[in-house]
Amino acid sequence: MNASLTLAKRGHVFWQRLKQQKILILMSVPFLIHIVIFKYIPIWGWLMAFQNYWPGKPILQQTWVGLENFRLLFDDVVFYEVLRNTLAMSVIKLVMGTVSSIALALMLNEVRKIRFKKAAQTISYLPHFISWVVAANLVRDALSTDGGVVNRALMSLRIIKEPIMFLGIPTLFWWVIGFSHVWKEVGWGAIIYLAAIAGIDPALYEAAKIDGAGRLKQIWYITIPSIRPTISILLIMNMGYLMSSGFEQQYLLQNGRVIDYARVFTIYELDYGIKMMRYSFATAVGIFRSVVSLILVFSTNQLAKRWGQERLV
Amino acid sequence: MNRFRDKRWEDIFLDTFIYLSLIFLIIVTLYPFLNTLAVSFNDAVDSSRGGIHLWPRKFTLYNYETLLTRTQIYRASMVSVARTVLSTALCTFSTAMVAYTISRREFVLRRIISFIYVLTMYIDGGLVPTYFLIRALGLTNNFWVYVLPGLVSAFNLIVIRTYISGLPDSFIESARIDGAGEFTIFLRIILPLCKPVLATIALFVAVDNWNAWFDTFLYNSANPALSTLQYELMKVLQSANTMSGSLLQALSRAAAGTSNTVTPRAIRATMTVIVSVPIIIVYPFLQKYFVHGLTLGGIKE
Amino acid sequence: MKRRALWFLPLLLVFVLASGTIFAQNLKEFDVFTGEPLPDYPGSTIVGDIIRAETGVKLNREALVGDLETKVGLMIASGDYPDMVVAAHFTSLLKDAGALIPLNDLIEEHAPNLKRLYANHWEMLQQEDGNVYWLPIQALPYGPDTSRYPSLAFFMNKRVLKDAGWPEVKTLDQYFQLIEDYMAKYPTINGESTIGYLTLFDDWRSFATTNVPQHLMGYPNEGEFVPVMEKGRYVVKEYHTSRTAKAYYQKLNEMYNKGVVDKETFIMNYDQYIEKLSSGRVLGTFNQFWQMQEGQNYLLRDDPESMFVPLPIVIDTLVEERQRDIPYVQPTQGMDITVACDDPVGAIKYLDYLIQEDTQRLLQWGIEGEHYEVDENGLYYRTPEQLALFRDPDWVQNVFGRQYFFNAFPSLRGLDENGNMFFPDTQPHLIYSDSTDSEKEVMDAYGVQSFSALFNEPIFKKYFPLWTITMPAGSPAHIEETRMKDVLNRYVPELVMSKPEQFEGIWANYVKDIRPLMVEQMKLYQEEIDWRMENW
Repeated sequence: MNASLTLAKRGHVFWQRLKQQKILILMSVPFLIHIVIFKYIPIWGWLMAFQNYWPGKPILQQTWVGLENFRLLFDDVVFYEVLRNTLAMSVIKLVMGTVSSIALALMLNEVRKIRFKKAAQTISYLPHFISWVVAANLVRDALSTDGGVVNRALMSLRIIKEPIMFLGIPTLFWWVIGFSHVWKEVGWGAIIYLAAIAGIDPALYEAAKIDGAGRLKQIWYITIPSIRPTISILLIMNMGYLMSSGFEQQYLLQNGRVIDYARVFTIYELDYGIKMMRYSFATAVGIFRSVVSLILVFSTNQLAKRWGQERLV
Repeated sequence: MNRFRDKRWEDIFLDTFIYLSLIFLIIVTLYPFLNTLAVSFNDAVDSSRGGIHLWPRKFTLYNYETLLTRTQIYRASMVSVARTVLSTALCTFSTAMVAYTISRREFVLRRIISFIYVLTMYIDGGLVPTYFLIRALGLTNNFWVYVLPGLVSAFNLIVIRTYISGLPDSFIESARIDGAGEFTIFLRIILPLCKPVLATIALFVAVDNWNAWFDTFLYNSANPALSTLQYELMKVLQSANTMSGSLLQALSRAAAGTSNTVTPRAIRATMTVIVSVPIIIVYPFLQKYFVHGLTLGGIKE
Repeated sequence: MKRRALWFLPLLLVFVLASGTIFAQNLKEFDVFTGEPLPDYPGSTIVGDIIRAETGVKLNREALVGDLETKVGLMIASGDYPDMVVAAHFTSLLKDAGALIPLNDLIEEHAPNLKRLYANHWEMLQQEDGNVYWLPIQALPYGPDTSRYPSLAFFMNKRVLKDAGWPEVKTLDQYFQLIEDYMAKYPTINGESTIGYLTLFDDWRSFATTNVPQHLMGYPNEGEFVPVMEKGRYVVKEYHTSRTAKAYYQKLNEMYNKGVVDKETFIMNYDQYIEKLSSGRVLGTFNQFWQMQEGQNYLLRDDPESMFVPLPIVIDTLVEERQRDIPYVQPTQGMDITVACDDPVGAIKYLDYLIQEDTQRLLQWGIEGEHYEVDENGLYYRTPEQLALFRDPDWVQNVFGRQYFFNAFPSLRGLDENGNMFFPDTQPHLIYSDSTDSEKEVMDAYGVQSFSALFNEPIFKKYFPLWTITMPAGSPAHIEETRMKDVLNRYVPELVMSKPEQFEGIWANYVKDIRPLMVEQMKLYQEEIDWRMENW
């Protein structure tokens, strides 16, 4: 009795607030409908994972196979290798990419010469526009044992005696991916942090200066805390992308020597799925990735909540 | 006295470190672009020998000629410009608007809207169902397929929301006391304050749209009038790819005698330059917002 | 300022959309999708204008951009077909999806030229239901091609042969001995260190390394397995674990450890491979000609003394070399007409017009007196000025317009009815005379008129080649094939790059891992070969 009353009351309050907020609703709900149409309706495609889908027949007339495609996936030894590689490279890229982009944004923010700052910022993001097809060749040339610039530099600095075949050593491959990712994306990744820094209230710095804080202290006590929500939110969102560590970069830098360490989900889906028209199998892999992604995102989100950081939902 | 010297050392150390790091970064990030530029101006067959660094060895404009004299290229560029301008304007505005609503703590639908958007980042129905949807909506062979599906993206939405949440509440409160409606607050107060993040998102959206070719491939490939610049360039690249391995080529003597030959490598370099130059030209107009930021009194307005 | 900018937008849009409407003529139109990438038709070309005037047909072409799997998958899933499709190895999928119409009756009634010129291949094209659904993009009605280069070979730098006094090279051991000797004598070329041997292993192109054992056994390119004649029947055999394969990888291993095989050979990509070949310091490589041609073209133009000479190398003198291709057509794919076509008769008539000898001659040779001449024996040739035009690919494509009616469309190759070649560049009496001076020097030294003549004549095999058998997409055999290639990709670099004393151990593991991954494929190939031998 009592409970239903409060419920009814709460319901009433809810409707009242909804009425009050009709402008906010008008501003958001049309777009909500839009996203439901464009992103949620196609989810019926997930049915394919439980079928033996063959193009040319309507989806409901396909043969149903239950969880067969998932069984095939989990029975495949290659799958576990792919899972390991994907996660390892994603984590390396995420950590190195985030740290380097934040560092670049902080450094650029400390540059007082505005022309240099602009030039450095513009140039650093240029590699983002060079597709991996072109960039992979540059990486390969740089790492070559046959006169590559990296080996020559290391040798002239007496760090190594013999050229190292960076791309031919399986255990180094993940790091090649990590470093080349930083090289290509550091400038682009820094833009979002620069924007966050640009939004910091200048009064905070003035106050700190009056307190006698040096530049390092200002960075540590003002800049970083101010962009922490951005860092935290980007980290949470990117946790969900750990299951997709890119495609072209690995595909174009891999070679027979390191194949066991280079194959990631997207390559696996292509080789064992799409290229063979096994849409059902590819969909099953996709669903597996989505589920793991969501688990990762929402558990990090919970952690952020516990630690009092900015969170996603 | 002591403290003063500490600070000077700190400055010198910090500046040296920063300038050295940035100069190193400039060198390693400028090189690929200059190299691509050099290859794009170098004779294609000669480039296959490798060893081009900062300057073309056998100068030619032929690579550009090959790409820029395709019949569709100008109309396709217009389509690309149109879709980029429209998408950037519409996406940035809509995303900011939704972001504003879900940044309001008192908004009852705030969590559910966030949740629905966040999910879309990690789930995907796949190519075939999406194609059916687009076709059912009448968006195949239609210009609007370039703009509508990606109107509000979850990632951008959350980035803007985070930014707005970081703004001091006082601005909104005082506006509300003045009797301003939500939409007015959004338009008059939030949008101007959000310039840095909006410039960032606009850049992301613009670059995505400018570089996109897959939607043309999927939905508009049957209508040449709706082709985009990137799609046209991909066409040339792919035909160069197959030409270099075709039967006719294998039997012919053509490539040996003349300089009028393109290779996939030369085409890729030239494409990269053609596509990125407009972005580099437009870039400074956006850059000023996140490089200067609001530090020059923007907030007090 | 800002207002004006906004005005500009709708205007731009209207312009873009309006300019899309194409002025209509009284032409029959067909929508054609070709799985082969092609630039857009320039609107008017020499051959295109003639064809349009004579047929009254205008084609709306869509050429592939992106990947064929996606395109064909969507096409089938949605049922949106153009009038005609060329879908490469997905052709039979279109048939299975019920997208194609049978062509036999159409051809019988309306297409005498197609009927006549495809007669040699007709049995190959009949599917299980007795119907023909597609026309391979090439027909060989009269006689085979000749060519300057064989389709595959162990290539050797001309310098090595010249330095050794043009020796006869027959076996793998002799081949590497020559390379080793030359390397010892000239450790650097053009100021850079000499590369003894290079083998290509980039992604799908790795067959340039892994297909070699079959060629060392004397076979032409069959694919992953070779049908061997045993008691009057072709029995499909695997060669990846054969004694020849072991000897080959062991030789590469020995050479790798001696520094003859390039250290980087397994980690370089195709571009780097071509780069190295073009540098003139590579002494030997195995490949199919089209995969190394870019490098050869560069060398012929800018460093002719370092050009590559194809050699017929086998594992030992007991093996009979038959590496040259037997002329074949690709019977499992081609051009087809879909259920969406309103006017199949018009479509087949158009294809019939395209295939006839006169049209083919127009496409390849051009107009007599303008693009080619006829000598007193009735043989065609081109004057140096005409030749110059046809050596400019830009002119051929955009002004002449050959590609737009040749690539992906049914066409003729080999000899024509008068003893001329359909492809001008393979005209037998011109192969030697059109060669470069550097090429002529090698041909003279070996007393041949073309490099192909260094090889034995091929033996006719009805089924040839095995690789034109398409595996049903996603079938167990197909999955097995992918896994087998994964094993090859993993083991071959290890076999070659390991220490010589480790070789045996790795080889044993390799054999153990790869053997079980051949069963399904061999079964499927055997069935198909038997079927071909019976029905073709």
